[in-house]
Amino acid sequence: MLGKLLKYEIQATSRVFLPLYLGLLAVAVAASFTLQSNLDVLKGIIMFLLVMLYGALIVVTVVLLIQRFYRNLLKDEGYLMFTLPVHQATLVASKLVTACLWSILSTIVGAASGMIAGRSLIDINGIADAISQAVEFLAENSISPLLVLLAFSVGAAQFVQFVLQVYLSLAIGQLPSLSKHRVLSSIAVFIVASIAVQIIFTVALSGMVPSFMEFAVTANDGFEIAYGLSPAKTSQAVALTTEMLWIALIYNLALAAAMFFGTTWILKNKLNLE
Amino acid sequence: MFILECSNITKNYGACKALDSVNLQLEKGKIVGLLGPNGSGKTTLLKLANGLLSPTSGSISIAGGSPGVHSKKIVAYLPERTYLNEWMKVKDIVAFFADFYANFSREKAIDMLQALGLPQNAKLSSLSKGNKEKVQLILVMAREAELYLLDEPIGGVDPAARDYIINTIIRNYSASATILLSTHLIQDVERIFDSVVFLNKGKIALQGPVDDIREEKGCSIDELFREVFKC
Repeated sequence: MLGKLLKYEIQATSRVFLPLYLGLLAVAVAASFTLQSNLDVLKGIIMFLLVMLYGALIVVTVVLLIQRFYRNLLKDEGYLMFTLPVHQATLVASKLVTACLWSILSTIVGAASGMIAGRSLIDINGIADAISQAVEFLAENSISPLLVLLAFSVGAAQFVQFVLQVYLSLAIGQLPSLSKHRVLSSIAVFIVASIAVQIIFTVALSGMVPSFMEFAVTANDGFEIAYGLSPAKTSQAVALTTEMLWIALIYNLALAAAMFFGTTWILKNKLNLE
Repeated sequence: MFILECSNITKNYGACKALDSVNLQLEKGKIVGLLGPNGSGKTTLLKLANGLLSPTSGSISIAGGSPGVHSKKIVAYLPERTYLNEWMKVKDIVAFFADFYANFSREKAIDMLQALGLPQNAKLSSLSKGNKEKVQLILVMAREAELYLLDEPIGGVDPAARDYIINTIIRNYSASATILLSTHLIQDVERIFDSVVFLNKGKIALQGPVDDIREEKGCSIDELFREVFKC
């Protein structure tokens, strides 16, 4: 059933995203030609369009993520979705997967159109050099590529957690005791949840404070400032970063799981459609 | 086993009691009218049976289980509001139902759409309110469900379509299925009811087989309704 739900969810959202992506890429191609020319007025118009479409890309990606859950599940369309013979968890999963998919695509399209538009301004060799320098730096300091993967995983987990926090806030906002002001309640819940998430994370990291302090104090002498970190110090920094990233990853995954089950539980046991 | 059973079900909206300790049992193979004035709790009862609301207290069961994936397979529900999205065409929503409900008959749906002159290529957003209601009713009646929960199926459509819809309901439903149909337009549908439930202010005011009630009270259900709920 998840496959079927995804099919319709992607259909419903691609109507908005595909034209936007095409428009952005087309304007980026136009920009790549006009930027080299001396047609100042045309250049101005194209740049304006490009900036507007970039803004639209970010806004649409975030707004649709919220709106697909709110309108399709908690407003009138919910009468159809919640009478389908599917489990509530499958409904939530279909929204989450689609939101992640479009966010990844929006990032790729955003980056690609930036590169296309700035083709004449960016030195492609320069980018390649920067990448090879970064790889060299990792190798010299014996930093495993797994650390980079770990950092990306933390980013992904944080995004998933953010999406589920939006869903949970909307689900809480429709509970009978809050439902007179659904949107306002949801926003309030989201803000409170964000603060709580930060506080708990800070507490979770507090165990690492002594090692950070030690690192900071010893790394602050003249030698380190003038010549960069010594190999011993570098490996210490890498170890600290790795530990912190692992804590962040586990924390975000645990939160995401809790929020997923919380949302599903509310939709199953405390649904309150208008 | 009853196809629908409510045990002491109560639903409050804040201080307002929409349903107050309602006990109701529906047997298989009956067409039951759920009658009552506006705000008597008809819609609330049907939403509870579909799990779209959760009861304040008491319980509701469909074919022996609480509302869930299994009950949604065997219940065909027509809500009182439009749930059609604005981006699909008529044929897309037919495909959607065929995809999710194993007991949905695409042929039946297409026949009924043609009979009511609803073009399959029309966008749902372009349909009038009455035509949207017709599409929704067709989608529901094209399912071979065990329990049909119909909330005001004839409220917003013209009298000609009303007759067609009532005939469609009778024609499409098999002898083992149950229909619970809420309405305040009693005269038009009275003839199809086996029994009726009168709801008033969240409580059951009267319930029983139509023939018995007619005999006992010496009047039609419509006349009785006007009598009971006289303002």
